[in-house]
Amino acid sequence: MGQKNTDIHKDLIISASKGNQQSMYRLYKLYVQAMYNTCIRMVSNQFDAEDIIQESFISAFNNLKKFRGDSSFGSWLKRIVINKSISFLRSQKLEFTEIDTMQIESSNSEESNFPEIDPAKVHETIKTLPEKARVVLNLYLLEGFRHKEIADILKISESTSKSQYLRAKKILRDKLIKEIQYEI
Amino acid sequence: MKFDEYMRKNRHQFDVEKPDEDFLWTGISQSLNKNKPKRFLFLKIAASIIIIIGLSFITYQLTTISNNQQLILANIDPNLAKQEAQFQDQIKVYYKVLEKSEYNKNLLATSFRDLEYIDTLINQYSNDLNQNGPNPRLLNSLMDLYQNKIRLLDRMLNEIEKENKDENYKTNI
Repeated sequence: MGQKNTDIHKDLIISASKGNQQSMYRLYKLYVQAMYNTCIRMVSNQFDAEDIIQESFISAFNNLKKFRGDSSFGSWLKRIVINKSISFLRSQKLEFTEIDTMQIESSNSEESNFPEIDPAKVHETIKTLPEKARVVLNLYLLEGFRHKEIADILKISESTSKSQYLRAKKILRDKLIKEIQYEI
Repeated sequence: MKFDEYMRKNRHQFDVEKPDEDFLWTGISQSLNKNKPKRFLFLKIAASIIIIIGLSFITYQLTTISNNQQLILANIDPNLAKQEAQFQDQIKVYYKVLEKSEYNKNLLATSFRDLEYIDTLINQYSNDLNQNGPNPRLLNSLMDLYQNKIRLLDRMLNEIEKENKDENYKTNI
């Protein structure tokens, strides 16, 4: 979120940090859908995503005084959601193991134009990707993290992050193209 | 357009799932209230009792030893005055958010006339309190009016939010 939105919600954030629940509710209403979608693409399960979203908002509101405005409120909140999603996946024994040696061939067709597709199909298809690859793809492609940052968050090497990303991208692309062909 | 470029360009259209917002908020709200120290609950009960006793006493004084006192909420009861100040702060915050939203108020189903009507009533009640002294029913009605005003502003913000969502407002998030 840009500077403009930070300013728009500044009053709500200040009021919420003083414990005003109506302002908290307004902030919640503004951000819940975006946060929920980010989360469910990470954990791929409605009930887990609901738990994580609740925990994230509770944590954010309880720690609102620590929010200094260095980033936008949306980015700060999203970081909480992402951290909690990753902690949850770790608690499910998901290990982001090294796959440095894995070779992914990039397809020639990747350079060609990617056709228009229903956004809901993209969202649903991401949820079907293998867990580790899905997390890396979400962080890199959709949430704008760099491979170095992903490597730090997931405690893997940068090259593993890149490999997982290429793998996820290939699977996602192939699945979406199949969807498009099926529709035709 | 390449795959990566396509995905990044359309990123905000992928947020298609609608969570059960009321259900989630209920859990959040309960947890936030649970975290409040219990002594506040005790203090609230104690404050409420003091307010009731205080109001009854003042009403008694004014009805039996009636004279031309000029009272405003701050003079009637500091706790009520505090609550009124909180309501007014909240209203100010909502007005600021409304002002900063680039909205067309003519498009809103919730009318600004309703807000003006509430303001008129608030002024009337405040004048009554000033002229005739504290009346518990009038005080309750005044507090209800503030709450109604907050609800109305909340509804307006919801409408604006919905309108903005339709115009891909979230692309900035």
